[in-house]
Amino acid sequence: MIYQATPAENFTPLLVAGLMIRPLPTAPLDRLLSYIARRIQDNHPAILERLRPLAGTRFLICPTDLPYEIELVLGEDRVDCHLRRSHQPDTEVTAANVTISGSFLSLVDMMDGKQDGDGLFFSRSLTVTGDTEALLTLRNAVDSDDIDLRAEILARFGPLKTPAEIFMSAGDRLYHRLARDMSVISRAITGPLSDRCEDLEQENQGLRDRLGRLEQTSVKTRNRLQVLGRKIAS
Amino acid sequence: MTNRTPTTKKLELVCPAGTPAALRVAVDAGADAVYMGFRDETNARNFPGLNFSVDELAEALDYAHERGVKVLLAVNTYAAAGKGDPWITAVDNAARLKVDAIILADVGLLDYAHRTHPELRLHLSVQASASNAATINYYAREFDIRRVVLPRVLTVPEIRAINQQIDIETEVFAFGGMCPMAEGRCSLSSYITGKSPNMNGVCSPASAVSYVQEGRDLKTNLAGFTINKFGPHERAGYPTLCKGRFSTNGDPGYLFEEPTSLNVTNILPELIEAGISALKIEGRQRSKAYVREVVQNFRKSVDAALSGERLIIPMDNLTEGGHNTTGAYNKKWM
Repeated sequence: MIYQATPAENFTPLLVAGLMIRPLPTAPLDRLLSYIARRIQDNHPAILERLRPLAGTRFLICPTDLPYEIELVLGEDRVDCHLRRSHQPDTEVTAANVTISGSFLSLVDMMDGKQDGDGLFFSRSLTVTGDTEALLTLRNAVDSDDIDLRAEILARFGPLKTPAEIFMSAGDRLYHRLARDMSVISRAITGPLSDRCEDLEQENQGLRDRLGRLEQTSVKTRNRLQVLGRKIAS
Repeated sequence: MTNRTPTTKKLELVCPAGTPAALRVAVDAGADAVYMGFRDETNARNFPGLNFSVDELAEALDYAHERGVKVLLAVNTYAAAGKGDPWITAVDNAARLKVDAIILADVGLLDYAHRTHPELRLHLSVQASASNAATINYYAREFDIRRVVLPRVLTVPEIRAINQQIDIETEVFAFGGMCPMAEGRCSLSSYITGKSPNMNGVCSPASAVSYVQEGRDLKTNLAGFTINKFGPHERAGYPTLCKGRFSTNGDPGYLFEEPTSLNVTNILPELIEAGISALKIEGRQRSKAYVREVVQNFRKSVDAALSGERLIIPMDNLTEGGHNTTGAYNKKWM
C-alpha cells in the first residue's frame, strides 16, 4: 500500500505531522505499538479467543494520512503488531491476507468503538481487500469488548501517567483546533474548483438526459418507419 | 416534529447485540429488550467472530436484568436434517439460563420448546414468514407463542388488520438492512454460494465475498461472480445478490432492490395506531457505534411518538447506499 495523502479529507494536521516525523527512526513507535498490543491481549482475553480461528493470518493496516503501515500477525495465543514505513520498494515483505486502508483517526475510532465500520465502508472512507471472512472476524472480535486505546497508551507512562494525560488532552485540543483551521484553508483552495465540477456535472447530466430522450425518439421513429414500410409492402 | 395526541400504549424497543460489548451499549443507550444468538448456526446471523457463548449469555442476562432490560435469544434457523442437536441444546440452555423469551421459526423446535419448557416465553421469528392472521393464530394455538415478528412485506393497514384478528403481540422491523424477499423463504444467495440464511444463518457468507479496488472503482465479487461495481463517489452497499446490479437490455441497474435501509421514524405514530407492541432494530452484525447511535435515536423517536409527537431521524451515515425507506409499510407498487 502506497502512502497516499491526496484527497481533501486527508488534509489534516496528521498529514503534516506525518511528513515531519518521516525521517525519524520507527523503533520507538514500533515498541509503543507492541506494548499496546500486549496490553490489549492481557486485558481482553475474550478477543483473543474469538481470533483463534485466524491463527497465521496477516493483516496490513494502512493509515492513508501517515507514512507508516501496521502489520498484525495473529498466532494461536498471541498477536504480533509492528510498525513499518509505507512504500519501501526495496524491502522484502510477506504479502498480507487482508489490507485495511483509511484515515488514521477513522481507524482508531473504529477500534475504540466510536465509528461504525460498515458506515465507513458504505461511504467509501474505508477500503478493504483480501480475505473478507478474516476481516469480519477481526472486526467482530475487536468490537466484542471495550478497548480504551487512550488508557492503554497512558499505562506505558507509569508514574508519569498524570502529566502524560494532561499533555495528551492538550494535544487533542490543539489537533482539533488545527484541523478546523486546515479545513477552512482546504475549502478556500478547493472550493472554486469544486463549484466548477458541480456545474460541469449538472451540465453533463442535462446532456445525458437529452441524449436519452433523443434515443427514445429515434427508437419510436424507427418503429413507426418499420410499420409504415410493412404497410407499403403489403 | 408534529403534535398529536399522547398515547398510554407501551412500545418495546428491541435492540441488536452481536457481542457482549454491543449488549452493554444497547442496554445503556435505552433498549427495553436486547436480542442475540449463540455462536453457531442456530441463529440467522452466524457470522465469524460474532455472537455469544453460553457463559457470555449468562453474564449478559445479569447485566441486562440488573438494569430492567429483557433478553431475547434468537434460535431462528431451521434445524438441519439429521443433526438437530445444536438447536435442541440452544433451547435447553435458554430455558436453563431463564432468558425472557426465545425467538424460534422451526415448527419442530417450537413444539419441543412448548412441550419441554412450558414456562419459556416463545416468540415467532420473522424467519417463519407468518404474514396473515390464520397462520399466526395457528402458531398461537398450537405452541402458545406470545409474540410474532412480522415479515417486512406488510403495509401499515395490513398490520392493523392482522392485529384486530389475533390475540398476541406483534413486533415489526424499524431500522436496518432490507430484504426484498419474504423472510424465511429466500434462497437467492444459496444459488451461487451454496449457503442460505434459513439453513446456515448466513446470506452471502463472508468466505464467498471479496472486494476488489479497480482504480477508484470498487468491485464486489460473490463466489467468483461480480455482482456490483461502485463508481468513485458512489456509496457502497452489502454484497448480497438481491442488491447486485445486473445488465438487462444493455442497461446495468438494480433488478431486485437498491442498497437502502429501513427507517420508520417518520411513520412511528401510524405503526403505534396499528397496534404493534414492539419495534425491532436490525443489525447484530453491526458495530457498537451503530448500536449506540441507532438505539439512542430510536429511544428519542419512540418516546416522542408515545407523547404524541413525530421525531424523524434520518441516520444516513449508517444506512446502506446512504438511503432510507419505509419499505412495504408504505407500499405503492402493488
